[in-house]
Amino acid sequence: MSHERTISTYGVVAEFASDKEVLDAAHKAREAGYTIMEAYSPVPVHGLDEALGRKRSRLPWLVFFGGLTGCVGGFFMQYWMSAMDYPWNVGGRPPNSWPAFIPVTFELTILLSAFTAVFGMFGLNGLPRPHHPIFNTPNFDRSTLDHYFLCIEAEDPQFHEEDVTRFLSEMGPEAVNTITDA
Amino acid sequence: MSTTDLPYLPSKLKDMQSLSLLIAGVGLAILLLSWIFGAANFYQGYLVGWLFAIGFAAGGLMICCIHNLAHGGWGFLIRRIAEASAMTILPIMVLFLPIMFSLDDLYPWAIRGEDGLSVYHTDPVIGAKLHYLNHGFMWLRYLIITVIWSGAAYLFHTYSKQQDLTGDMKWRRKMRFIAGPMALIYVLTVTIASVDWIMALEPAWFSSIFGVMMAAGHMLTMLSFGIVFLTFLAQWEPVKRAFTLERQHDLGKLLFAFVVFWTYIELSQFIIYWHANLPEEITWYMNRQTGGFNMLSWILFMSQFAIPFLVLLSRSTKRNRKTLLGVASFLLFMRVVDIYWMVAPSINLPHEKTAALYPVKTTAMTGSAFHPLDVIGFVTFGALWFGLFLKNFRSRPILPVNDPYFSLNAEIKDSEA
Repeated sequence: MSHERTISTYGVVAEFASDKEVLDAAHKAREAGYTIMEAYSPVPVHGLDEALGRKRSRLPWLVFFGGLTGCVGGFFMQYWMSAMDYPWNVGGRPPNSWPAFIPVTFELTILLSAFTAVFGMFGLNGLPRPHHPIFNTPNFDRSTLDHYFLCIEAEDPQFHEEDVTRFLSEMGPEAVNTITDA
Repeated sequence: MSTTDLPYLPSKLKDMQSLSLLIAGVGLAILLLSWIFGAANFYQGYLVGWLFAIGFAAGGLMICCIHNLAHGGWGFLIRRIAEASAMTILPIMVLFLPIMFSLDDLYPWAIRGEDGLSVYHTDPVIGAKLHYLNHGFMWLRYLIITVIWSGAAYLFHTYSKQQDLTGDMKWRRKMRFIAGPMALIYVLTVTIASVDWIMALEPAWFSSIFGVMMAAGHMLTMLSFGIVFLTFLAQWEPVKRAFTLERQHDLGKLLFAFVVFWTYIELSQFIIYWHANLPEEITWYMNRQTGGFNMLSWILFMSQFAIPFLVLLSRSTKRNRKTLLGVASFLLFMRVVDIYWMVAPSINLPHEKTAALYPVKTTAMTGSAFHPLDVIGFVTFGALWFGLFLKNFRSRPILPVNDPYFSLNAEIKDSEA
């Protein structure tokens, strides 16, 4: 730990032994008005996204515009090449042979949609990222095995370390820890 | 839940059935009279209407096959609809008989000269196809398709009925056992059917993807209808509870998939033929790029691809019941336009060069491109199919309650099915 840099609190993490408890805790935290929180679980838990108040991702819109760029760009790339920059008579077909442009247009639509989906997903998730403060949580290994974690983050407008710790302790967790981002 | 305490459909459906069959009866009488009086447009109107009806019936059979193969929660609600629809195959196929008895009025290859041979037997292209396109073989194919399709529909119906009574896993296995081979046989027979019913209207022309195009149309017809009909039934229990948002979303996704599939197949054929521009292949598009049919081609492209594609692309529209109902009804109407687009230009041959390929005209060719009988044809067959469908549908519980994997609204159980 370096003394030049201030170490701030990342959040308070509660560790639960069952999915039902974490789901319950998430519901209660939301009712209590907490908005910035995250749950960590070894298996998908039905209804957890809703309990955390997750909004739907913006990714579909990004993918749509990525695909649209591929579609329009792919078509006009060919149009510019075949009809404007270098018109060439191929078997008597018109320079703007749009049916012949469809396969490439289609492929570029798919390509850019797929790229936007993959890289947009990385971007929106803040990846690549070598380290995350949540790994400072004691016993966090078990989030990939059999334990469930709920973290109320310090960015939450209602966040007060003692209040949150007390609040989470009432949910019957295995442990409650305050973690720092160092 | 046992089958006995299931609520049966409201009597409203019975009234709808009577009304549909009444309309169909009047329509059939008009069509029959026009046939007797030798109206040249009878054939086109009858064929378009008949193809519309068989689209529901064969689409129902295909959904039975797919759902029994793939399982999943998406199919439980549409399954009864598909089974009831598949059971209409036999009566609809029987109604193809007027065309079978007047093949030479509709299909150029079927016109026989005084010597009993096809008038086109000296034609280098059509003449070589007469081993396949002849009256005897056509009858044989017609009978085989009728027997196989209606037989499979009958088996699905019977097994499903037994499952309703007993809830035994055995019936599920039996249905799965016929679903695989039948899906394969359907794809093979639908190719034969598409050649016999539509492609042979222009016997000099050919396309190997044609059957898939027809199959895509069948699936589109049945999925659109399924969504429309389920939305209607969802006004009452038990469908109100069972037609959950997730299940609706699944059907919306399938509808979207088949809109894209249909477009993919249509465009595959179009790009290859347009680009090669070979005389024996391009006639199909010459007929469809002439005059009013060119406009119709664009309308079809916009309405059966562009608009539904953009609307169904979004998750929220697929999950909005009114929007999905709107798109599905619109697509159902576009099915008629699509079938008309496939049939009418091949009969009317609006392009002089394609018309010159068939010097001996059929009776149908002397009719006009669009005629009130076209409308009467599809209204009659639409109503007739709907009436027959309702008759089958009403005779059984609406939901497959005794299917071991079905539960009224448990989504989790669905996903494991």
